[in-house]
Amino acid sequence: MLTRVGERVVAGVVFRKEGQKMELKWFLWKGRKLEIKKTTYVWRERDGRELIRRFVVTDGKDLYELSYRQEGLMWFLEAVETDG
Amino acid sequence: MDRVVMYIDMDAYFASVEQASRPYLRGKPVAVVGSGKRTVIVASSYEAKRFGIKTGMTKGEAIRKLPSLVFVEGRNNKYVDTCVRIHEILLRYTPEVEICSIDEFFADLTGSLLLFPSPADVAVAVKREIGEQFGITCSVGIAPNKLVAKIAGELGKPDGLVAVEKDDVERFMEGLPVESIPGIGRKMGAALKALGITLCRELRDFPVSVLRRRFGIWGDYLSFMARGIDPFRAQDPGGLPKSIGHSMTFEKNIGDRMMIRARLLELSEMVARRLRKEKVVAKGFSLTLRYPDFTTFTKRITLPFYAPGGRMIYETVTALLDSVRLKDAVRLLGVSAFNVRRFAANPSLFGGLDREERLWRAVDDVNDAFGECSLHPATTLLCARRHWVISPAYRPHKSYPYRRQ
Ligand SMILES: [Mg+2]
Repeated sequence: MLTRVGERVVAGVVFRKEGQKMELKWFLWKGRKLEIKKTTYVWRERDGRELIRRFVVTDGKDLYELSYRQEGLMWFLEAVETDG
Repeated sequence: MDRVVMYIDMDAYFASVEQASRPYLRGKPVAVVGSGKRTVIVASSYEAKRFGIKTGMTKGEAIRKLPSLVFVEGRNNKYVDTCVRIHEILLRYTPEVEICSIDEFFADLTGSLLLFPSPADVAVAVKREIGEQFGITCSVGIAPNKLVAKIAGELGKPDGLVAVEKDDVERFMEGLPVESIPGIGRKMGAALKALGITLCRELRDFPVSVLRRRFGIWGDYLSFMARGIDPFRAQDPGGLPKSIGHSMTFEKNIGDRMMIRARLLELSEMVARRLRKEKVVAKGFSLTLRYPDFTTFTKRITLPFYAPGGRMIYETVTALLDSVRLKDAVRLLGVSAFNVRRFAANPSLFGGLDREERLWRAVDDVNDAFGECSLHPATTLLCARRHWVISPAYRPHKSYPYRRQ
């Protein structure tokens, strides 16, 4: 089931390859720290002038879609998807 | 040096991307649909195809066929960005890459073979990179020309790699059904069958004069293609599109003529933008309407001149609309342009392009930089923002924003 969230979150990221690749490690949501096991998909989008990077990640249980807005250096949890 | 062309086609592209993003969908029958209630299937996974799920089916039809089918909403940006990145991968092997649809590419490897041991090595490397980066598979065909490369690629689906050497082309073609030749559809297939032709070998051995009498110039093309010779090689590689069109299905049927006109303006601008991108102009236009009971009809008109832009297209299709007595609200509208020719900038009397032309160029530039529909005619605000899944024929514009800076 897909649930839209759209909340700002704090995230831990490792930058690799001179900023070419961002690896999401964890994020804080609802007072919990969610450790990311795997990034399943990454893509880029444009919103007007702004570049948005989108990440689908999993903590081993559920899927989370996060977005990173380059302009304000902000992370958002866009949606949570639970199996079934 | 002999020419070597590689054809790369993603397997069940949109569905594979969704399965890669959502591991729980892997191995399951998946159909990608638009976000509306009335959307149709735009792509399906191999697990779904096996049960007869096809592109264009409505959700209802598909569920009846396969109750366990999982629907996922398509995300255009995801597929476009992946296409751009696959293009970037290919460009590392050769500068001559042609994007022929959102998930198909031709890469001319002729000049790259000094750097790589063999075309098959390039194919294996490309397949591995695409697999590692996106978690999807693709099928590759390698041959002396685009025609045979594409046929070989299709033959290996899914996850295949089929290479045809120059000397093997004729033998490779012989046993294939004529329908494996791109461009031979069900209709042409049936016409050939009436002549007793079902295999490429039979088509090859058939007298060209008879084919020509039956199909015109296509008769000659068919005879060439059956031998694995690409008759379009000598032509402009891009070729002229036969027609360029857009259509949309609405969440709610539209009965109000003003709303229909607003949609037509939107569609006309979309078509005009595509015409500008392809650098062509058209003089034939058509309007397609579909009623809630699915009866569909199309009205066409050919103008005595090539229409310069969206406004003219809009005026032409609204004139077509006015000539129709609507018997009900409509669920789908489509606008397309045909009878196209290359656009040659026609310097007006005072030099340069005319005002309207310049305006639309500027609008195109803004939309290229800031994303589709950043700037659009105010009348189209009447249309609630809709989300439709991109057509597989879509090609990202060359100056796609990511490649700008
Ligand atoms: Mg494909």
